[in-house]
Amino acid sequence: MLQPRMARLLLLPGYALLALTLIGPLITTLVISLGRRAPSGGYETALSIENFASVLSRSTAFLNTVQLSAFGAAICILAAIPVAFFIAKHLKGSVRYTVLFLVVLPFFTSFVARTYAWYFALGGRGLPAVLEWIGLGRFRFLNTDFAVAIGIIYAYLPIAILMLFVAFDRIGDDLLEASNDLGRGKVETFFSVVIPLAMPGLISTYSLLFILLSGEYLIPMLLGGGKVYFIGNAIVDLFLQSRNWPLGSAVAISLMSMMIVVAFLSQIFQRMANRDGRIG
Amino acid sequence: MDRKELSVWVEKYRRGHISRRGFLTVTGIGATMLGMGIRPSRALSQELSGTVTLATWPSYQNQANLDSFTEKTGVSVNMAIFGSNEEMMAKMQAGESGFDIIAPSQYAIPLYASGQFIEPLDLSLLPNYDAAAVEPRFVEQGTFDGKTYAVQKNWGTSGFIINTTMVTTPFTSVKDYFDGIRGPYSGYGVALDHPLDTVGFALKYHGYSFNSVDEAELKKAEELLLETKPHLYAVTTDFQPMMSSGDASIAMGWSFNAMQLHRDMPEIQYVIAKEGGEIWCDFYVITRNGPNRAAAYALVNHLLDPANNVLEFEAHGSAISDTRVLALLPPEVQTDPILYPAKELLDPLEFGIAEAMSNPLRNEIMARFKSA
Amino acid sequence: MRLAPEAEGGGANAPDDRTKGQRMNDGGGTFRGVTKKFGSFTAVNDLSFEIEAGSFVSIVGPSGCGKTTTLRLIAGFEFPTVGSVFIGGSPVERMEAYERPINMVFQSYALFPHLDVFDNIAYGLRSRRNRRPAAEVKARVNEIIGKMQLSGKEHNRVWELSGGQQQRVALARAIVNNPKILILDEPMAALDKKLRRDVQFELQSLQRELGITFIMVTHDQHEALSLSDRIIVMNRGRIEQIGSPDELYNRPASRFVASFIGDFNLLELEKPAAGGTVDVAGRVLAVPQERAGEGATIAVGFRPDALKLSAAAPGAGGEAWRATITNVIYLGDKVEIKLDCPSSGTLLARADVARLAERRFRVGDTVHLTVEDSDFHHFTK
Repeated sequence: MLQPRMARLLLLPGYALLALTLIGPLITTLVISLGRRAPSGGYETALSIENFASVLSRSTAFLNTVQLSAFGAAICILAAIPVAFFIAKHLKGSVRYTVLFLVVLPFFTSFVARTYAWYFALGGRGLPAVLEWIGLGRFRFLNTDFAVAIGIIYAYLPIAILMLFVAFDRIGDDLLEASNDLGRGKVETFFSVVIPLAMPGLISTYSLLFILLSGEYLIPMLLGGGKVYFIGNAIVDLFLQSRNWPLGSAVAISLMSMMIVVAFLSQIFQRMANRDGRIG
Repeated sequence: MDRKELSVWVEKYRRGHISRRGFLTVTGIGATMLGMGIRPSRALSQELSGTVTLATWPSYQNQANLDSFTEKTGVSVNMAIFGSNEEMMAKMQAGESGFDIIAPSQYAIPLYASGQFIEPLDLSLLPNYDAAAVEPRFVEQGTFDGKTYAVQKNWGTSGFIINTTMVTTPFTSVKDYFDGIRGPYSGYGVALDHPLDTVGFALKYHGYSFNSVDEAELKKAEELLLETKPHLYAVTTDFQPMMSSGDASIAMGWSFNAMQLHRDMPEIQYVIAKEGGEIWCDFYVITRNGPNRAAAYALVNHLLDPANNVLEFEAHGSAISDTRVLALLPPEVQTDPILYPAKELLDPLEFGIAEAMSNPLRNEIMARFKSA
Repeated sequence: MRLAPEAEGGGANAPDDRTKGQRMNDGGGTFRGVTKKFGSFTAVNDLSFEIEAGSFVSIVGPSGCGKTTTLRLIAGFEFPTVGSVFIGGSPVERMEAYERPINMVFQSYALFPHLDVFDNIAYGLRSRRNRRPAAEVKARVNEIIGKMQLSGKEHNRVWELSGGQQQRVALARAIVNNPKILILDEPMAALDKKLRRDVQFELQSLQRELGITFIMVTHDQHEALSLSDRIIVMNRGRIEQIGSPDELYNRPASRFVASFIGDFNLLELEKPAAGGTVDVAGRVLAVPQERAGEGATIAVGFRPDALKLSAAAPGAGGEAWRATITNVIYLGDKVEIKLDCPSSGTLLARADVARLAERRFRVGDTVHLTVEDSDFHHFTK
């Protein structure tokens, strides 16, 4: 048995690594956010919260991000529910794991390549050309909320399916059969048993998706063409284009704070849902 | 992403599918190192060895020249690919010290020079450079504080690229661009995701200098940009696919974009606005703290060899002003209206300047324009 | 098929004197030639039987015998590959579980963890299909809560209840719907031994009071014997025997049933019987009349109670009917003695302690074995 003192000592390298890789950058970001942009770009030491006041100038991007993340996460969940439920409750044995593997298969190719595929598919020579050829008229999809939503749903659907699969898989078949036995068909059972019992999973999936999506910048950049602009794009531009590191840091910290609030709310809601069932 | 995948993207870029900016995103923020050099069969030079790293733009160098350099000197060449001057500078400001040579545009040179990132060139080590063969206005852009910091690589202009089957009204000016997009071509216009050009053209619309940093003037430019934003199809440098597919009909862009589009689709034409716009020039500079200074000079000298420079021209397709190189190129190249526009069109153009590039308000206007 | 319902004669039995509910007449169940395959595995093979309305029927058998599949076929969680299922005379084999007038008490109880006791019990009455007015739901649920001694627990979370209470909620949740048939899947499995006895009595009283058909699946033959009117013994997807506890115990139709229901000393014959007699370790037994038409006897056996031990000198059976005592186990008023017999292997004897009082058997003693001819069971399968 290790002495507590010894054990604490052995944990030190772990904590040091944590401090170095997580807390260090966080503090650096915080310090930079209080500084000033150097005349030719970059960072200059200063102590001011002015940058946080300027964050308001990105409110459109924030609003965009929140709206599309909330919407995208909701669509992902709605699309993932039937798939995840089917895999969890209707597939057995090896078929089930084969299908799960197929769900995560896109992860084995580069995220960028997959998003670029949509860039070409939604561009004028892709899907719109097909629709025009069929005679449905001329469409333009790229650089719209729609295109970004498609990209988001495509990219994050597998995560939603996996998470919801776990949530649904935990619900015993006997509960579904009991509901069936008590006169409720599949749909009624789904809404009166599955959804309430999966609620903690639905909440955590939704909030994780929301957090992931609100940090997204590649999809809006490629499929939004500067027309659909996320806060992530604002951060990238502030660092790499305007080279205004302090404001970039301030915006990043604001985004992070928003995510923390979402994660915190998610915890509260999950606990409420848990109290209502789930834990035996 | 590994090298193989990267080379696929490089190839895509080469075919004009991806812009500099798009390329940057694909390859990850910051520089991506490419060990493109072939292994030397034998080392001919005793003094030179190791590796030299060139930070440049996608599809901007001829691999054959790099290979022949390696063959000749035994020094292998790495390339670091960047999406924009702003990103390259962000990397240098963040303390990057692995590059020997970088290829900035004229407006970045004073910032690098004053920031002690690059050194005045020792021209004795660059016998292939002949200042007299290069147009003086470009030579001037490579000079800072009376010293030569940069040697010219190639040059071009910023203007407007239009699809003449879609844009049927006369199009000759910056006014036509902003008014057309807010009018008949609403939803079909593209602005560059590049602060210098986009803010610069908005200033030109009101008759101000392309490089203005005057607050009142910039305020008017910002108003114009914010008014135009809802009518735009995209704010991007990755507009070539949109133009060729017909999703967009008017784009603010650079001459080499126009060259590539026009070559495939003759109905796509390049307009240098009569009010003016930007003329730009890319250079080679040598970093102060690069790891292989001797090889850096040798490589720049190798690339400036007129015969090699012809190969470079074939790779990047931008105009070269070195008369020794022009003499080796077919005559029709020198009369190409996109590559070498008429003097009266070039006269009103301004070089983008460092002050404009680093001006916080101009950058903030661009950022607000994008996030609007 | 030999085990077709008409061969069982169960339907002809006169109803006993219990109080029967009104719906008992339509609460019977019939399986006709039901086979259920899962892929290449046949879980249930050509099953035919009839369950009398208002009776308490148990389905027993070792694990994997198909009893759970049979139960699920009745409940509607599985559909027959071949064959028909009738409930109250109507075919139901294509009806979903929620359409069948059947409710089930799950082995796990399957109580809804997100609902309290009241809402669990009210679940069926609030389904879209069988929705009752709120006032009626309240009255019926409260009535059943009283009956099941769950008063005061209405708004408890189900996981806060004890195992016995949970089982009563599961029972209440099922019977509140007035099903024609109540299915119980291993209802005692999750209860501790002491509680089981009480619950068995409660179940029996409940069934008599409600008068609805109870079908219980259990692997515990004691439970089946003590509760059921009739027992269906299954093995390897087929029915071995259907009968009353008494019939199964005293007239097992096969070696399997004999060994499965109660303890049994089975003696396999080296050669099948011929000419109306069998030779059991030197003892010649006449094949009883009722077995005569069924084919050759291949094994015989007797219950442990039929085996008498004595220290007396060998009788007619000779040396073959001597054995050595290996274990003596006192079970309160009974004693069980395990014997090692050179000719028949391990045997079990059971007797009243009082009856053995005059003779104390010890481990290692050699004893003489006596079994009456009439106590031998003859098996053709």
